[in-house]
Amino acid sequence: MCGIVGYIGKRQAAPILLEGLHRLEYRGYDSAGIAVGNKGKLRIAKRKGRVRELDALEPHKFRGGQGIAHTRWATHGEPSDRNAHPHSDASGRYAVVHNGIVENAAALKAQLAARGCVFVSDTDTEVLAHLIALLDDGSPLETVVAEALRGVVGAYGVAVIDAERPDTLVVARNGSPIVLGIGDKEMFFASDPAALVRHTESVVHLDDGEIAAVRADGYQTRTLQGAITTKTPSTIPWKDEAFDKGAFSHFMRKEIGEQPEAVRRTLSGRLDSRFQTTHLGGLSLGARDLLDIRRVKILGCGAAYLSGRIGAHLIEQLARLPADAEPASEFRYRNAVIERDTLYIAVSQSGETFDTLAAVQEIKRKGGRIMGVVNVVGSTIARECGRGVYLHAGPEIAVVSTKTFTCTAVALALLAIHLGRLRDLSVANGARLIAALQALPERIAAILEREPEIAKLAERFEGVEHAFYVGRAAGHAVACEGALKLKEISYLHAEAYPASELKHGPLALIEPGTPTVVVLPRDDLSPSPIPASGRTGWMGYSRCLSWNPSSIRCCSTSRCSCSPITWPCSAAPTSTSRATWRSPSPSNEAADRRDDDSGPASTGPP
Amino acid sequence: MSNTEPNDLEDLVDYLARTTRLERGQAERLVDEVLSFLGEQPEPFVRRRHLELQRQGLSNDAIFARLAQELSRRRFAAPAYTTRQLRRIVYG
Repeated sequence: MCGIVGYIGKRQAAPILLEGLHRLEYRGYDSAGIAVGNKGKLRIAKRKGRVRELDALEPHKFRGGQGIAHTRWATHGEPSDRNAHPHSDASGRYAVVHNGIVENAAALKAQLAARGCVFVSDTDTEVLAHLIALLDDGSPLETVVAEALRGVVGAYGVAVIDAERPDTLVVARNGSPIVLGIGDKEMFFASDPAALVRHTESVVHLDDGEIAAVRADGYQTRTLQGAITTKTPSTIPWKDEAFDKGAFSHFMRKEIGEQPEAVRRTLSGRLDSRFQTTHLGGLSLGARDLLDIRRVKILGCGAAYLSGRIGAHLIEQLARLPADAEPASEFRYRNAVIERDTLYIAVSQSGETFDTLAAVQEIKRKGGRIMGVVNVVGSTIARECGRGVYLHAGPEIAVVSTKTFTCTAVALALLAIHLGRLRDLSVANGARLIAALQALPERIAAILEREPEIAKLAERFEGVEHAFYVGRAAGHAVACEGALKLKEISYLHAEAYPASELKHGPLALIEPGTPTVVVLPRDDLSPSPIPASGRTGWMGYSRCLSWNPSSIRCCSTSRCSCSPITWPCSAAPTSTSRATWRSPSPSNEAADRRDDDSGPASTGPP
Repeated sequence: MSNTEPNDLEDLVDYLARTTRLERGQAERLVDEVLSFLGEQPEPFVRRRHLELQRQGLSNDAIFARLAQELSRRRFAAPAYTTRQLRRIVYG
């Protein structure tokens, strides 16, 4: 959750670095700092707090055409001026910024202390600066840094500046992303393309175990062992404006509002209404390969995992393949059996999620068949997988996932239809599903227009400390996402339960006034969750917020203080749940158009 | 094919299952796919193909000549007949 940015070239580095820090501030902001090299010396400014706190130190006045900068979210050491990056050696000649954790920092620190190094911070990063200073024998900077990093255990994205080597900056990567930006006689780098798009579209992604010497006129990459590697630049598909929150109060709200357009882009060019199927060009798996698949396993973390659960449900329903989703963080640690006839799907917005990447590498090592569902083009997971579906959702700046959750569910729905049409999903069913997906952006837009009503509804729950979310099948995955969003954004405790599990114990936790959100898509399961929601009401303990395609309803009970309100929906809301995929019946076509989804919970109900 | 009413397509499915390596379910699906593909009416077909051929850079003269050929070869779904029209076909 930290950010790195660097520049070397003909312009003054400081303004570029500071602007980059502002762009990366969403990654973490307990402290920030900058180091600029000029005439054999480094000028360093760093301070606790947000990037703007640096202004008091006037870093924009630092002269020099090479520099590195960092915005931090603390791991080692409290947020403070002295723990802020960059960190330098005792002489102040070398400065280092670092994302990640040096796991053997204590051992290295002890060794360095024994050789007389004095540490002024509590961070693991400072160890790197002292180590590099100690190992510098006059070799090129990248050689010195590589030697230092060979002794490091842990994950890092790191950038190094040496005051006495003004023509070179060095960056390296192991588990934490570093992207080089290629300019005209100038080079940039950052931990996130967001900091680069204002200056260049041409980027190079470093791979794990790679180090790069970055000069104004280009770069050279090699492994830590010294073998030169060849990189091919790619183009960032996003424009600078996409990283501006515009008139919105914050990025999350902007990204919720972008869902219709994001989903439209995810669907673009992928719906084949001639053959009533979907076309996924990046899949690189022919029909014969896909027909060999006997099982699907979806891996992701957080909201990516939850959208994967929706996808697994769709694949099982439409393609009749056993499918499930698992947190990548669990999968990678349990020495999973990898089956060759299983299709493994790695889901990640950034394409850099550490646990998901580790799971991908483990599957590849064991010979498994893997594909990615990723938003960031050219990201590490995308490259590791080598095949997959890009979401094209646009940059997601807010830390919490909103539009990419929805777009991932849509991308997995496309895959489910593709797999289904290769198997037993009929032409008629394919046609219905394609039509439903085509209509989806407008349906999402119709829900978003109802934001004032939803906000009014949320006022009824002001002051609550706990909430329950229940649902069944795909509805349960949506309930989990709703609970996750409430926890992440409102810092309130929320639990999501399968509808019928509520009565096996957790029901006793529901107290007067505890809201229960019932995700209730109108599908063939729709009557089932009602007893669970009804029961919470019958017991007089809960204010139930039921959420289904035709209404958002807050019901009261005899012991509930709120009065009943219902908002009949003028348009059926978005769909990410099973309801959209109901079996066709000529007699209920009109009802399908009216009823067939449940989506608003995916945008984070109140 | 999803219609469970007996129809002459069942004969075709039986024939395919009997004379090819297709299982009955596969034969049903194959027939369903082909019928769906040929389910387009002439006018939408002409409009779609015109657009496709135009995108390939063909001139209108070449496109219409080709469309005439394609229309003569392709099978189209019959228009919807009323009962009265059906009676007329049978009884004149």
